[in-house]
Amino acid sequence: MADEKKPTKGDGDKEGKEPSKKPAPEQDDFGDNIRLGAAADNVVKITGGIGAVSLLACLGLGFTGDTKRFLLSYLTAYAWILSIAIGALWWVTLQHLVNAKWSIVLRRVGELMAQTMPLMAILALPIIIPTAMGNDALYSWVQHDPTDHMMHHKAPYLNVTSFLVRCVIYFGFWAVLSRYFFKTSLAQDQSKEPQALNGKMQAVSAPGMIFLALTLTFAAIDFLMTLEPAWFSTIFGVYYFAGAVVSFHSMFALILMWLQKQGALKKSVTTEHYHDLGKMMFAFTVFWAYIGFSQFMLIWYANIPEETFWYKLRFAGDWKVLSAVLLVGNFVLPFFGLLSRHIKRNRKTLGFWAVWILVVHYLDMYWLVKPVLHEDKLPTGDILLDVTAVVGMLGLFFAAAAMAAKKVRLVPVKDPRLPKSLAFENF
Amino acid sequence: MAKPKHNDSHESEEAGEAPLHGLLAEYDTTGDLIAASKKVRDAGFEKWDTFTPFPVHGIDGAMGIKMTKLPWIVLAMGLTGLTIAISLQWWTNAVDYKFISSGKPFWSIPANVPIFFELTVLLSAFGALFGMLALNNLPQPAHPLDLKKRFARATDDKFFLLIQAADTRFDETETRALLESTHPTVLDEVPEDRTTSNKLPSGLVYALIVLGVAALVPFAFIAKARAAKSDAPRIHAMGDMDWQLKYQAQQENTIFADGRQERPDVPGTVAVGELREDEHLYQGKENGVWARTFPPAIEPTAENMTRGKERFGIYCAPCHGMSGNGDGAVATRAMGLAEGTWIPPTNLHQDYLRFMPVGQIFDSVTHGVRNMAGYGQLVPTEDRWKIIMYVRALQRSRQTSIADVPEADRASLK
Repeated sequence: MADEKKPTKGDGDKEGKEPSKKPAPEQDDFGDNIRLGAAADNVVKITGGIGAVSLLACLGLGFTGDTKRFLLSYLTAYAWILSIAIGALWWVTLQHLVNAKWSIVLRRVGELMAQTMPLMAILALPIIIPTAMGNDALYSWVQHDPTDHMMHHKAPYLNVTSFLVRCVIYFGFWAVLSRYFFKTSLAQDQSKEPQALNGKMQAVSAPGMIFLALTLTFAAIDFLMTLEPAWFSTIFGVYYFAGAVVSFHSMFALILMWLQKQGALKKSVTTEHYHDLGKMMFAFTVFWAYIGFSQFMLIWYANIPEETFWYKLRFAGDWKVLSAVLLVGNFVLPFFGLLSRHIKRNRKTLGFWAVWILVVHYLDMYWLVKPVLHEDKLPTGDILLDVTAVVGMLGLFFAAAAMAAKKVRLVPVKDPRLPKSLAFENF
Repeated sequence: MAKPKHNDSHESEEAGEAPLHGLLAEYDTTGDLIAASKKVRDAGFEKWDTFTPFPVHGIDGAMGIKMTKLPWIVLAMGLTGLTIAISLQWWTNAVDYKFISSGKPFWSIPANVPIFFELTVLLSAFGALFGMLALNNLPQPAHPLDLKKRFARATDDKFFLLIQAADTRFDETETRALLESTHPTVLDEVPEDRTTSNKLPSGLVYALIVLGVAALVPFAFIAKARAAKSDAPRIHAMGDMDWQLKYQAQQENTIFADGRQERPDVPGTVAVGELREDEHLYQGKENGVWARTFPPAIEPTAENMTRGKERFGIYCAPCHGMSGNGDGAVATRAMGLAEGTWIPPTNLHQDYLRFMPVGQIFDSVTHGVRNMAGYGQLVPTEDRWKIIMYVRALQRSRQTSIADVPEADRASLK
């Protein structure tokens, strides 16, 4: 986790002493406040504290109550928070891959959001440990039934050992990749040849992107799709990815607004940058609908029972209402809401849609996970589990990112592309 | 900065022949151009423009250019595309040529969404491209600036500003003074272009005409096919779809021992939704005896009665007649032929039928009786019951008395 980190090498060299109480004593020759300072400590203490208490409460409820219901609530919140962290890592990788210039001033904040990957590995433990111990409350494939012909043939993939191996690969790779970009970016702040480091990071980003796509797809399959082990959809990973990107950009915009309220990056991050984040939110809102519909239409058209039952569950009882809410709330409304450039360039309206998207994205995860209960009614009785899990993970997410942000600049000051990013304008 | 250099001799000769199109100022840097643009903007000119080798940040603000209308054009075109896609598919699938495909409803939204999407995007793209061309007054085969040799450097390393003489505020001396105050490296007069044709190149025009005519050829073939008859076999444009590698109904399949391609249900299994436990509803029996009542699911409502009447009209009336007398169109015709082989259909008003249990009638309808074929495969279970309900109403209609008529209406019958 973030508290295991040592002071970054570059800053240690320059300050030449242990990190003091004043986190930003050195002069940043930048003309803008690019340090989070004391606000970072407050985030770690307050939201971290709230998050830890809330998550412990959730775990406590889980130990005393129904294991399956606890695990489903926990998995819903986890799928949501993980998508934001993966979105951050994807975004950082993408900026290096395409040699983006507009985003340089934002890059460090994206890197910090991706520094939550070790936390994500820890948060996954309540899902992984029961599964490893042979508890099939969440994943029925844990208990192998040789008489089930289909599951017998899926067993070489769907078994506890290979699941654990894949988890190690996912979290290991994500942590290493996010750490690599962060470390190299920090080293660039002190480097005499910053351009060379850009080349290095770009070279890593290409294979990194391929493995990120593969790990993301398989993780979405393992954690979410195998809740119904008989069901399969080859586009499922892309569906999860679409939600990850749109919700990451929403969270990103909100965090930048918060940073500017704290007095950081006030001059550096402009309406132009928000406009671009808004464009990404808009584009991936459409993309989510496109992928979601592509998955639905093929299954609807082919009309094969082993595929359609997944949707049949979601079109029965109260789930039908939630499906309609998702269609309208996750596509129709944000599509028209974010269509105008004036809305994307206004922080209040953009902030509204960012919060909106994060909420409906949570509903999307809820819609993916909870129908596995096979109940006609929405499991509203588990609301306490749902809320404590979300608040807990969100609080810890902020705390982990803030902890990494304590002693670093919020802008990669030596990146040669930075002036272009600062002067960036949308035509 | 270099002093403004006035017209070189070659170009001034041309200027003498043609009226003035405008004044062209040339700058070395984007900074100079932006400063000059602000001055021209503040002077209130409307017909003027700047020319740069690359997009210059802030130039639209310095020129006072308003936000383009293009997004609205694109939105309008996109919505037009969506409307066309909806109405086209609705008309062809749900109204004009109903055709069941894959067992889906005639008007099934999911199947139509891809076309919604495609036409929306297509017309949006057209709106963006052609709207952009129209708003920019393109194409312009000839422009007076093309004759300026220096102007070619607008694509290389120089920045230009042109004020047209057509602008209402244009005054040759005053405007010249205004532009000189912006310190251009060169200030030049641009004569109107009287030498280059403003028409599209004829080759391009002919090519467009040929393409336009070629685009009509498929429609010509369609029109011909609709108007003419032919003995030639149909054209198989997509062989893979016309001859699919699959078994057709009734085909032999040597994989199976019995050689049948259609497979019976596996013994001891029931297909989803085919369990049919309800003896009353599916067999017309209660505890093994013909039921004398309708199943609870079939309520005697006006809606069910209307449905029964409609189905009766389709499946039963051709033989039994619209009023159940056994004088349907098929029966009448067969009797008229008098071939001796025809067994007349039953009159549904006979006493034994009036008192027959509805369950037994249901069994006759389902499996057939004597010469009549079973309609169990053709008419859904619920519909068969509704038909019987209507038949009961028909029978009842022959057994009425004045007591059945509401008191208020009795007077009209006397």
